[in-house]
Amino acid sequence: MQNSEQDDTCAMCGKKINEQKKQILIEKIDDANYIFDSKDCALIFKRFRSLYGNDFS
Amino acid sequence: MAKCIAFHSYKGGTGKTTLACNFAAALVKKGYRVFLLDLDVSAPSIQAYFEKSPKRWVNDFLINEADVDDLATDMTDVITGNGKQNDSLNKNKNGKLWVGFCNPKKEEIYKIEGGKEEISKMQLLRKFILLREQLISEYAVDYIIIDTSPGIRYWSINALAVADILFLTLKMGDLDIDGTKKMADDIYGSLTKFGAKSYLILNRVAGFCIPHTVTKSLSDNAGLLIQEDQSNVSARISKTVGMDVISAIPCYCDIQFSRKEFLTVLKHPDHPFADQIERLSEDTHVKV
Repeated sequence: MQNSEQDDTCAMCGKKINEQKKQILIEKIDDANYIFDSKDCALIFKRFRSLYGNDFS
Repeated sequence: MAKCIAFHSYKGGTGKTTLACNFAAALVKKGYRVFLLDLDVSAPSIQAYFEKSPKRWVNDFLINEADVDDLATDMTDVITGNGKQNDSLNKNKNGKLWVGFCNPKKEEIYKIEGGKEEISKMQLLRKFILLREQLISEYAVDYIIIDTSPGIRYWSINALAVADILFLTLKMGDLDIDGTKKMADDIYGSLTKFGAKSYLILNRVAGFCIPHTVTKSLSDNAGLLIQEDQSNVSARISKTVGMDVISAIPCYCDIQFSRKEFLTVLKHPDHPFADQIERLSEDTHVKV
């Protein structure tokens, strides 16, 4: 998973955010910006990152 | 707001599945909408527990070969007795139980363990995230109960990461306690840092193998001794592992050695095990 700011896909669930007409949530994690389509996705992403380390992205 | 609860353990054989199934049934009895998900992918047992052949499996959903409606097997009748004998158990009639069964066939296990190369682990993980989302949005569940694989495995970690509450079950024995402590340090700290709550469930606490028919006839003082001992065991293990104990369930030999324990909370609601599960469901509801 790349920092997906360019194509507006949620870094966790992989859904296109514009298609869902949801507000984009941008979070800075370890000096990189990640976009998410919900607080839930952002939280789960951080948990995976904490478990798997920086390889999870 | 839906809550996701994962039953996990360091080793197998701690009673996770029995606890998860009875816990789910206890919540349904209280009128909650519950989805019980078998994610013990390498040794699934919920299908054998319910003796049900589902239309489709969780595995099929994860590899894009089934929709959520195909895998969600409505098992509410098991709780309500199809409007017959157990109807009074589903007190306010709103309770629902769906079960997502995991396929025990080795070929199907291999596919979701990342063996099918055309589906990456990230794709599988995203399908799992989607499953959770669909259960919340389309099934309006109050609780998702996940029976995970023991230890530190790909799918058990995934289940823990999406859960709001982590129940780490362990049975007595020093090896189990040491391993549980290590896993609690390695894994659970990473999750509680981001909002998850974790609790220990002590199962089969030794020294209490007294049939409830006998405990009924014990004097009040003897009953107090048992309570005191359970409290001491909980405090000691809580300190060793570094997590709060939410429930200490005695070893009930009739359940432990039963050839086919099945939803004791429904079948034998007066059994002390059922009482323990009821209390666990009430305590959990307070904590979420």
